[in-house]
Amino acid sequence: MTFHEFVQQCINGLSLGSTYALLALGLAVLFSIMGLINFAHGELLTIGGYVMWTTLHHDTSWWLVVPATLLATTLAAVAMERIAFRPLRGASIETLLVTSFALAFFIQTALQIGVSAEPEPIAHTGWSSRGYSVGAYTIGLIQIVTTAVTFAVLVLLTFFLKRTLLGVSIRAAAEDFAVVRLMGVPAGRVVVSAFALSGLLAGIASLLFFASAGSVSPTSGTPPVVAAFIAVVLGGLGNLTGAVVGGYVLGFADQILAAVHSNTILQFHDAVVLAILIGILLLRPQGLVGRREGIV
Amino acid sequence: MWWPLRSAAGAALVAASLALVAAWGWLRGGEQTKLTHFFVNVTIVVALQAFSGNSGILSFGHMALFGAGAYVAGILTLDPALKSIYLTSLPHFLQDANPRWWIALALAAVAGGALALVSGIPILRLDGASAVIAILALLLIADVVFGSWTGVTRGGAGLIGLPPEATMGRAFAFAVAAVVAARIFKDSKTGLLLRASREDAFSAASVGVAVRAYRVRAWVLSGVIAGAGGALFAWWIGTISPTDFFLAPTFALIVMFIVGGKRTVAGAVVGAALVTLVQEQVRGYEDSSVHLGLFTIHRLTGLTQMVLVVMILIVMYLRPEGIVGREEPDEAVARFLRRRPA
Repeated sequence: MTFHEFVQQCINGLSLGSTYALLALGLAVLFSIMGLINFAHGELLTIGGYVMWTTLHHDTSWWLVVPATLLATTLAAVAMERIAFRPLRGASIETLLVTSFALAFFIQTALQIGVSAEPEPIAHTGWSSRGYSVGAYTIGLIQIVTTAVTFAVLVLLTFFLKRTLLGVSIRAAAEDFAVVRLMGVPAGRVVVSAFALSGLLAGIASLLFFASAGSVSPTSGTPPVVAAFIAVVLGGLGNLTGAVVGGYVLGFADQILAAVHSNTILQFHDAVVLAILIGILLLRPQGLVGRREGIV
Repeated sequence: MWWPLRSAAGAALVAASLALVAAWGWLRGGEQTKLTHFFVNVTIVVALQAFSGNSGILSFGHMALFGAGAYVAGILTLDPALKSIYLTSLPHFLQDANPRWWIALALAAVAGGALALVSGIPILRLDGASAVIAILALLLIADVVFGSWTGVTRGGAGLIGLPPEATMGRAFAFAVAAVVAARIFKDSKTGLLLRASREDAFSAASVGVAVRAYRVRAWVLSGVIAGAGGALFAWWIGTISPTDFFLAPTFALIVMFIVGGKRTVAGAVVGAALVTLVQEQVRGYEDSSVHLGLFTIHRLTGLTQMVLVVMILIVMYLRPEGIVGREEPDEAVARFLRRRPA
């Protein structure tokens, strides 16, 4: 691989990693507070995609599509908490995990029966396929937007988590929920805000993902979110910084390996990336950023 | 009584109910395909129970082990004439191979166990939720391999025309063998210490339980059973493709495991019975349309899945320990008898 290719793949990896980082953050917030591995996070992404499909189908301007999508995914996340997870407050990690897995299949099947099992086209807007040449490199506008939006979100999120009472409560709850409740922080509000936050992050990811994906189907949320799961574990489970680091490492690894692989290995590309990540976990079971804990 | 014998006797209760089902199917005739499906489901869910039930780590990756067995058996027993057309990258000795069914099944079990050993050593270093996700990664890797290794697996087109070697009697025999093996494992020293680590891994480790090694043992046993089950599945269904071993079947498997009760082998069998019933009875309605007042839904694609979702959610909210609960039926009976002086 030449230096030129390497830089180009890093540019691609940066935007891919940004999407993973947004999804991984949404997963990590919920895991750190309530031990929930939310399989249904992918369905938030899908719901965002369907909102974009419906609105863009009716020629709605992007100035309306963006708030509508964000609102829909945030409300969907809050509804998930209210309907599915609140009755299970305090249940074991496994109960939450299985419930979220079932919830994911519920939403997928509901979309299959209610809309269609076939992919629906998302009207391609001119801007998402535009590209620029900078020297010898090609950069898509969608890549620039994705990376810039993610950086902005990370800055705002850091501000929110460090400077506002609610943000500090969420961070504290991620460390030790029991103690936070003893300090008089209302548990319900923290959990609902965490779900709303994860829904909002999924909405942003949804806008960026489907603007370039071109179509949405009931199962299209699954692959990116499963990648985000891996990113979360890679960074160190339950660690918000780790989730972002994991997302970017996964994005870069994916793109750089895609350039290195010969054609015969390329068809197994995803398997190779996953195997390498499991290899990393073999050396650092606690993740890249996590602290060493555990028993075995 | 020598403990493995006692465990086997305990499992006999479950085995006897399986025998009743088989006898019913044999007398009635015509239901044998459905019952074979049931016995294959029993085998795979018992494999999951042997690992997840004892270790407490919920596995989303068993379909990888199951699929490995299915593909090994499928590739071995496919008609050599078809192999030379479909599977061009297959080495010559495999191209010509056409082993007896039980040899292919044994090799499928070995393949399941070998995949479990190779994957388990790194993955089971992880703990809790990280382990769950790493096992899920195994499922994704397997799916890529099944789908992309076209010269060997025929990729998304799938292996077609596998011989119908999975008769009801064979499937029944292997279901019973799986039930007995899982029960003996559960009551063995390894199984007991593993269950201790499930309740409290830190305490178990602190008194010298080699948690990781025991987890790997359970995972490998589970892989062997799943590999054999995969072979039977391939011969039962006749056509296998990567989607048969991905997320939707994984979900059905998890439903079987959880609904019956994850702590007991009997629970796994009960779950398999309920899910098979849904799969066999509801599937017929998927093409029908429904009129709901103003709306008409034309095709109920995924109706089976919806019923499974409802089943598992009811269990999660009302009885998270599953229908059977914490004790095997024979243990419950023994406890009941002990309470009353003779």
